[in-house]
Amino acid sequence: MAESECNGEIKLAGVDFISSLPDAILQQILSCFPTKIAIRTSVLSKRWKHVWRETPRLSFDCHRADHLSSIKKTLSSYSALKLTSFDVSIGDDISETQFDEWIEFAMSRNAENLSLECSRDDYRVPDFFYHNSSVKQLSVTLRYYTDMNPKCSVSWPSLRSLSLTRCCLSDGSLASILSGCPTLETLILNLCEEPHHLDLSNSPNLKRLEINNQNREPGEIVAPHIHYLRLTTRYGPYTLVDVSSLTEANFNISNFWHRILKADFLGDIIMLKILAKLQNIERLTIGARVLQILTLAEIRGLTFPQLKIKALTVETTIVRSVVPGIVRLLRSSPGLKKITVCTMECRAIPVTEFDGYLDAQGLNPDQCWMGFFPAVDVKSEHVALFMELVLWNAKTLETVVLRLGGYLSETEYQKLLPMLSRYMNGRKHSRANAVLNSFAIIP
Amino acid sequence: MSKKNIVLKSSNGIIFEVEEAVALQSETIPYMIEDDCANDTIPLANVTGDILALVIEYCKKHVVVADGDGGGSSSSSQEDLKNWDAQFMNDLDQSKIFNLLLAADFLNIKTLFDLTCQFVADTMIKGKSVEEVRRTLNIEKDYTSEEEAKARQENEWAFK
Repeated sequence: MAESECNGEIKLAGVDFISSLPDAILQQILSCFPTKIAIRTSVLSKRWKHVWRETPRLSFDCHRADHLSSIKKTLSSYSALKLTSFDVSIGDDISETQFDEWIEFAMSRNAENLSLECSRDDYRVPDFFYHNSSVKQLSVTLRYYTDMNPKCSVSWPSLRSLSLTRCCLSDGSLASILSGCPTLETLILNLCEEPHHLDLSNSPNLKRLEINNQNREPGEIVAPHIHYLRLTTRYGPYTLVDVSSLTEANFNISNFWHRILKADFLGDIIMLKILAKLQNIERLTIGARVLQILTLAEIRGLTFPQLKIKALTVETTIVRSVVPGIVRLLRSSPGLKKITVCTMECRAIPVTEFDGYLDAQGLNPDQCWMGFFPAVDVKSEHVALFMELVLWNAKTLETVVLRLGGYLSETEYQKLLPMLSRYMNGRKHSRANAVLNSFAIIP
Repeated sequence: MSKKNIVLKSSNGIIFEVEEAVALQSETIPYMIEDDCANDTIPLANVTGDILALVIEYCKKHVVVADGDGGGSSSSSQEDLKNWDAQFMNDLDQSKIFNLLLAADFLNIKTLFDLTCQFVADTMIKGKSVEEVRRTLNIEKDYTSEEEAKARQENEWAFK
C-alpha cells in the first residue's frame, strides 16, 4: 500500500475509505474475528479477496468431518509469515492426527498464543507439543478427564500464562510441566483434576493462580510466591498452607447440588483459617456463600482475624444470612478504603437449609438478624439498609460503589436513589463517615 | 516536579502543546524528540489538526496518573475509562474513525489502535451479511456474480 494514501484526510461521505487502508491495518481489524468471519470479507470486492490470508490470528472450530477438506484448503492458502494467535477447537468426528497436524502447523509458524480444544475422549497430547519455544500464552481444553501426562521433558521457555481445562494432572505431571516453564506468571486450572497437595513453591515467577473446582474435594495449596489467588469451588474452601506473598484474592463457592450444611460442617472454621492466611492482602473479593459461611462463624462466636484489606468487593444477593458475615468482616478490616457492592441474583444457601442448620445446632439466629432483611423478595429499602449497615460499620471508607446489575426493577431503583441521598446528607454533618468522598451507584 | 511540555504540529500547521506524559503514549514521538533540542516543535506530517486533537483528547484521558496512593482505585477507573472510550468512539463519523486509525498506527499508540480496530469490527462488520457490510462501508462490488461464487467456493466452509 502506498504511503501517500495516509497523507491527505478524506472527508467525503459515501466514500469507501476502509478499502484504501493498508493491508496490515485491515488484517488487524480482521484479527478481531474468528477466521470464518475474516474469510467472508474476501467476497466484498476484489480488493478484499486476499486480505484475510495474512491476518495474524487464526481461529476456527471443526466439528464436522465434511468441512475438513475445505478448511485444509483454506489453511493451505493462508500466507502470513507471522502467526500471532492460533485457536482451534475440534469435535470427536475429527481425527487425533488431524488435530496434531494443526498444532504442528501453529508451532511451525511460531504462534505466541495457542488455544487448543479437543473433545475426543481418546486424545493423547503428543510429545512434540511439550517442546515449544515461541508460545507465551497456552490454553488447553480436553474432554472430561483426559490425562495430561508428559512422557518427555517439558520445555516452554517463553510461556507466561497457562490455562488448563478438564485436564487430569497427576502430582508428577504438574511438577514436570511447571519445571519446564520457568517464566510462567499465571496458572489457571479450570475443572481439572489437580493434585490434592498443590505445590507451587518451585515456581518463583508464578504470581497468579486461579482454580475453578466443581467436582472434587478441595485440597491444599502451597504457593508462597503468588500475589493473586482466585478460587471457585463447590464443596467448600481449600486449605491454604502457604500464600504468604498474596496481595489480592477472590473467593467464591458456586452452586451446590448437595446440601452443604451437614451436621459435621466445618466450613466456617476453615474459612476463618483462610482469612487468617490472608492477613496481608489488600484487595479481597467474595461471593454470597462465602459471606453466609462467615455469618455462621459469627453466630457461632468464632474469632475473626484482623485484616489489612483496603478494597473489598462483595458479589451477593441481599438476604439476611449474608449480613452478620459482612458486618463482622468490615469490623475486622480497620484500614478499609473502598467497598464495591455488586448485587446479583445468585443461588445462596437457601433460607430453609440455613435456618434448619442453625436450629439443629441449637443456635439462635434471631439475635443476629440485623435490621429487617427479608429472606426473599428484596426491595429498594433493603438495599438502602444494607448500604447503611456497610457505611456504619466501615468508618474509614473513602469510596463506595454500588453496582446493582439490574438487581432492582426500575421503580425500585428510582426509590433507592432518594433513600441513599437522604442517608448521605444526614451523614455529611456527623463524623461517622468523615473521609467518604465518593459514592457511585450504577444501575 | 516540574512538568515538561512537548509541542506537536499537525500536517496543516496547527500547534498543540501537551505534557510530555500525554505525548509519550505514542511510541513514535520519542524517536522524533532530539536529545539536545527537546523543546523544538515535532512536525507530524501524516496527521491533520482535527485528528491530532482527537488523539490528544484520548491520550489526556489515558495518561497514567503517577501520583495518588495507588490503592484500590484502579478497577473503577478502568471501567470509567471503558465507558469513556465507548462514548469517544460513538461520537465519531466514519472518516474520522479511519483517519484516527491511521494516526494511531503512525504514532504507534497501541491502546488507541486496538480500540479503533475493535470498534470498526464490532459496529461495521460483526453480525452483518456481506451485502450489509458493503453498504455500511460503501464498498463497491466489482465482482461479477460468477467471480463472487468462485471466491465463495474457495473457502466453502466459511460461508456455511
